[in-house]
Amino acid sequence: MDFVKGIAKLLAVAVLVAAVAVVAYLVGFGSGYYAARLTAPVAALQTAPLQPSSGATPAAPAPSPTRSPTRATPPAPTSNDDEEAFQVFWEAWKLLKDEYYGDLPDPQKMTRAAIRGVLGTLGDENTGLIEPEISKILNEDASGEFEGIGATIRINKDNKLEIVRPFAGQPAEKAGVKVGDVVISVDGKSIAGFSVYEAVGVIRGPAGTTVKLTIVRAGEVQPLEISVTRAKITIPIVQSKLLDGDIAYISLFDFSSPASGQLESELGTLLAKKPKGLILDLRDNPGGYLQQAIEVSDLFLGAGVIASEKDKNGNGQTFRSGPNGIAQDIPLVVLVNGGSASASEIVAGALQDRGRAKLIGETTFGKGSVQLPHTLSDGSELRVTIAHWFTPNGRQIQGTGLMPDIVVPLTEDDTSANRDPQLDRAVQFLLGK
Amino acid sequence: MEKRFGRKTIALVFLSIIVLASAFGAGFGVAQVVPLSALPIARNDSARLDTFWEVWRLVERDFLGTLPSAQARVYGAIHGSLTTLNDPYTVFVEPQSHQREKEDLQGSFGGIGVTMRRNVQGDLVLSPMPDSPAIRTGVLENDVLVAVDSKPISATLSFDDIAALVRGKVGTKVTISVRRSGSEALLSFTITREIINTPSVVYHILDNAPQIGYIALDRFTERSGEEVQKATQELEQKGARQIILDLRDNGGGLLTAAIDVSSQFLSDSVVLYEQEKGKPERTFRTKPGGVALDMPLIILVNHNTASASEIVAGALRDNSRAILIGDQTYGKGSVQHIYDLGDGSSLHVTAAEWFTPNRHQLTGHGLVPDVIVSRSNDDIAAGRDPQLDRAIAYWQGKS
Repeated sequence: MDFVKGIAKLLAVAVLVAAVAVVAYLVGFGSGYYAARLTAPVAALQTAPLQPSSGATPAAPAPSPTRSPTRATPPAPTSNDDEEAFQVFWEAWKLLKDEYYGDLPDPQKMTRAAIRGVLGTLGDENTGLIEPEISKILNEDASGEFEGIGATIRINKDNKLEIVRPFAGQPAEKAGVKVGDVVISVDGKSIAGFSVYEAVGVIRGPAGTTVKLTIVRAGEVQPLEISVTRAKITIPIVQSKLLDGDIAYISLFDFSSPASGQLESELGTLLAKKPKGLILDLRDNPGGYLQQAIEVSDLFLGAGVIASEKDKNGNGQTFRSGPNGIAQDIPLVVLVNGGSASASEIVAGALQDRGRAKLIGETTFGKGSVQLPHTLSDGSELRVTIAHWFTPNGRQIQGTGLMPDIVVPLTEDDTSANRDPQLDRAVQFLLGK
Repeated sequence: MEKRFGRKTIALVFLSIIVLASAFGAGFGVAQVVPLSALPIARNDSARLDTFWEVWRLVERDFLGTLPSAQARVYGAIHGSLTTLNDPYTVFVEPQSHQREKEDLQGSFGGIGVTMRRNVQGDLVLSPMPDSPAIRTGVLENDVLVAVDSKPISATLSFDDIAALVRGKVGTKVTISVRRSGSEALLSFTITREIINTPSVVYHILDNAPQIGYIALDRFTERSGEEVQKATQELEQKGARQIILDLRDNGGGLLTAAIDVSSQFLSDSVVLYEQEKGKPERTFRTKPGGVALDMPLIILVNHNTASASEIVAGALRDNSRAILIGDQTYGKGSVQHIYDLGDGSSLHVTAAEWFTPNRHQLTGHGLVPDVIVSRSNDDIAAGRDPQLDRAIAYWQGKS
């Protein structure tokens, strides 16, 4: 038990993203950001209902493939107390088998519903069971790459599968798939009523194989049939540019496995241009792996504390940065908003507490707990909230979030007019205005 | 093994009470506790639950928050697995609610005979019933309940919680502390619990039609047959020559009570047919001894007339014994068996469907009345009852 516990502590401490945020993490067969009505992951991740206004629930990245996810301990006799409490479950179960007038569902389905029932009593929306099919997709997404057609999809308001964005130069785009296309069937089979995960499940497949999409496109009378040859797709998670005034801008979309590596290489390129200041954009970044948050923070810091965590027994560990961060001196602003959650808050909190960066934008989400994922014997995945994490100054941000040093709201009018006052403020700040 | 288990546990067959917009489900089962040892765990089921136990133990080992009791988690598991059935009538009822459900359908409980309400301050104000143990011991109207058996009554306790404290086996004692205006010290009363009846009928001669006896039945309890019998006899003595049986908003109750009530008005007839899975059809017939076999009868029904109420209305109409006036009924054609589980909880299982004597199956499309008359919210607010008026007029028009 101790051994398992030790491993559990060391390995794959994934940070579940916020339960309610504007975007979902890595849903679809593309990368990134998925701002749509999305109910499937809610069912998968949560036992509590979503707030209706939220739109989507971000799914958390699954354990990093570079570290094996914990294998749940095999079933063993439980305590006598548990056995006794459980008798009533057997009574109910057998009565249903003997007496129920209708057809009983598949026992596996009932077992999973029973598990959800148990988890529901915990009152923690971040502790949840994820079905094997969805777990597989989340794991691929969290690894940063998958085999598919390379596009972001969503279920639109008409409950249809819509192409949000085909990735430049990837198979979907090359085959002629366009933004706004509605996919009605895959390989000749209707996908009406599919959740986004179910759709992803049929669209992804081994590189080199072909998938036939039947597409309804505005302006076309007949549905189009487009065959796309699947390929290995790397999910873009970093975007950078040099702004006027020699300010470098770098945006990180999530904390999946390749996050710190990609960020480091992009930073290297940017810093070589000797910018006067740097903006790290973590807005709408729902989080990901704790380890990635530590590694990302390390890029910007000298030696010191990044964060610490404590489990239910008060045991914990402190995560530290080394002396060699490649961007530890350049003036730094971190952009945050209500969609900056979890791993994003670890980074922003560390940089704020250590006096390394000013936070500009809006209050962050406030997700201060850590989840440990387990692969269960039937292939489904259990995520359990196991610890709280704290900023270097010992702040616990659950429910409150991080308050920016400079609060700058972003209104809907700004968005529709393509203005970004938060970014503008960051540039001004770095230019000393 | 399964069969033996099934036979052993079937206590009684009940029809569920549909309380709309309420989770409270159904009737009650005779307290026939299944011994735990009689529940061997089938190996294949056990294997299917491997995942369940993995989760159970991982959560116990690692979960950061406060872990609910094992019992609360098991109850969660049962509630959770029942959601896969998509059957609103197959429900798990936790012990305290089950106790209330039992008492509700017995039509009586062991108690002290007070009604309770909360005033604006959140105090629990008592009102003793006439000739109740409470009033005989000295409890007065407007006494405020402060403690029960030394357990303080907080503002957060629900009525169910408080009822669970006050009620108990007949013959046992309970001590209540009350605050009384004008009295500094708290007063304490030790009261022996007695049978407190909660009649399911209200009845009287109609003011504007002295030849009509009116009986309203709000649920089907163990005592409903007897209560309807007594009501009918009394009304007849007072001059009633016609009966209106009001089953509006009656969501049902015990199947046996539906037969008992039907038997007051009907003899030697089929009340319903019942079909369980994989078993021969059962026929339920009237019992002898009805007291109003010939009096003209109208039954008032509405959208909330459900389950056992629909059995009575369907049986009396199909046998040409009554006419129905009002709105179409709810339409519930299934039967729940209610089992007492080992820990005082119960499981209601949809185990059969039923048919009227003319073999109508009601699920989804209730009984259509012979005379359709609605009662709007405006009518209710203004104290008007066009359905009752129509029933009275029906006979007056005929005579």
